[in-house]
Amino acid sequence: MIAADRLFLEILFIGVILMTLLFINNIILYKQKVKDLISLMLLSGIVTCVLEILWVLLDGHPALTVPSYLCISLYCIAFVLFAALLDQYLFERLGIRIGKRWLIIGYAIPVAIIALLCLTTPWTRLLFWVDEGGIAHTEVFFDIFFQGVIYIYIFTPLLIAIYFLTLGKARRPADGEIPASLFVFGIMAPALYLLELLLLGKGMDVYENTSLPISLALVYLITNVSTHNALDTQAKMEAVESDLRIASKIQADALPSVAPEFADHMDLNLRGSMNTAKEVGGDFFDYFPIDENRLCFLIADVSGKGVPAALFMMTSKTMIKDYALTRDSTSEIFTEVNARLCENNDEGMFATAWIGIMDKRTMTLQYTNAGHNYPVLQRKGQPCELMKKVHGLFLGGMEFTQYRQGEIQLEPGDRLLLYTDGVVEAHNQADELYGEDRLQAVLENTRDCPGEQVLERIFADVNDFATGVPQFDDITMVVLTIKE
Amino acid sequence: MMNIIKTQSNGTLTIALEGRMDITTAPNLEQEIKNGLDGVTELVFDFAKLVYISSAGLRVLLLAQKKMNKQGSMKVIHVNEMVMEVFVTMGLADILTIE
Repeated sequence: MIAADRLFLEILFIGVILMTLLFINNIILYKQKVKDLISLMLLSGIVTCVLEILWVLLDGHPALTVPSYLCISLYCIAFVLFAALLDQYLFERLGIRIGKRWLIIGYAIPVAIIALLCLTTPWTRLLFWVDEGGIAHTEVFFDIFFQGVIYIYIFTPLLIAIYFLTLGKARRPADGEIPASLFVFGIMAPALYLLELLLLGKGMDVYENTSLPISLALVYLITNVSTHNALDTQAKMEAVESDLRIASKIQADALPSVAPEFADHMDLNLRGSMNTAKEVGGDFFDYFPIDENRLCFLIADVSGKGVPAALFMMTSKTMIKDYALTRDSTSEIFTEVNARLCENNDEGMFATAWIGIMDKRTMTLQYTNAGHNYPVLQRKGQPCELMKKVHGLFLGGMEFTQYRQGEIQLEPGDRLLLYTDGVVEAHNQADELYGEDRLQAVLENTRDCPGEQVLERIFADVNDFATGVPQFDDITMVVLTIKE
Repeated sequence: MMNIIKTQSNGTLTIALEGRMDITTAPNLEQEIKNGLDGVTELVFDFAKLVYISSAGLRVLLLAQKKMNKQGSMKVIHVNEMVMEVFVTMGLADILTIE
């Protein structure tokens, strides 16, 4: 083997490795599928280079003429497929639509003819033939037709690039950087070819070694295009993240964050807290005065998570407050809100909710539970109990649900805790649930603490319990304390 | 994991669910409900082997109930204690026919 051949093989081998790495990179990092155009193109490029290596190795071995025929035939097919796929990939990337007829004339027919020539060449010798010494000789169809088709395919990107960079500036695709990469690619391939000829000192009669410069230039092109893609995706992600941050802020602002005046009445005290699992959550709580004697407070948990849940949450929250200020009873409020939420609710979103109206004169609490977790009632000097009353389906479930209501009398020293399932369904590494018992235990230990401390202690206890498990659901609580 | 086993005789479709119906498995059932209820006049859910249901599952059950309200009837059979408790807590016990 002459030195030039050896050098050529070495460079080609590096080309194969580069393309293989790109292929793996595209599959793993950029989540391309094997049947995507870019993957198919890289694969055929790899196969072409490997077959070219084989061709050089087999050349000149008299005993290996049959493998030589096979290898060169497959090489031609792989190469023309590779070049055709390259064009298809670029058309797709640049949003250029080619009519079916032109695809058949321009690509399907030439590829089919080359495949046919490859299959028949051992007998017709139109494309190439291998002599008794095992040396391959290319023939007129190889030199003119096969190489011609390849050159046309390979120079198509350059033509497209020149078009987009000059005449077609206005019609340039959104991916503005790609024509520039194409242009470089279009120049790089022939430049590398010339360099190869100079370096290896081969005469201009050597046509067959074209796959090397093309594959190296292609490595450049794909790396470039992939980087554009990655940067593009990154920019989009950043925009989404910034939107989410703002949404999260809007949502937090919608909750009564600072304790308003009315929440600290001489007889009672209300506190709420919410810790979302994602940037935006589906839980909410609220408290507001209805008139000078009555206070409304509520908690709710919207099905699902993220942005859809947050949108539904904002709607329901506004609606509940609107109806609470104009209706007399909690059952009426939820019956009306539910009917409104069921209109155009094709997504089947819903919210479990619990609402109470406290009358400060009589210390009676009227309440309605729409499929929500049972609140914990802690009477002075008595163990905790769950308020196991359900007055109807969750909000947004069935259009004509008539909600019922209950009433209890509260006494000084009593405490009521509302919470969402993020509290009781938090689980630890052993997959155990936090549960109502642990919640009640914390309440027992904090009987003498003010409301906000109770909420802090419960949240800390849930966090301790769930150490090592990422928070899965929003954790939201409201506590009502009747002062002694 | 949730298996959906369907048996149909005339207008009665029985859907037996095995495993957990949560946010990851409920969409499979939703597809079945959306596409597979043509000509069904009685829909029966067999929950004998259903061990867990989350709110995402309840949502799909409710969609099925709404659809069946228009074209026939729906009932849920073999509901275990834990699932029943969820139905009661969420107020679904009044809406569904449970046997």
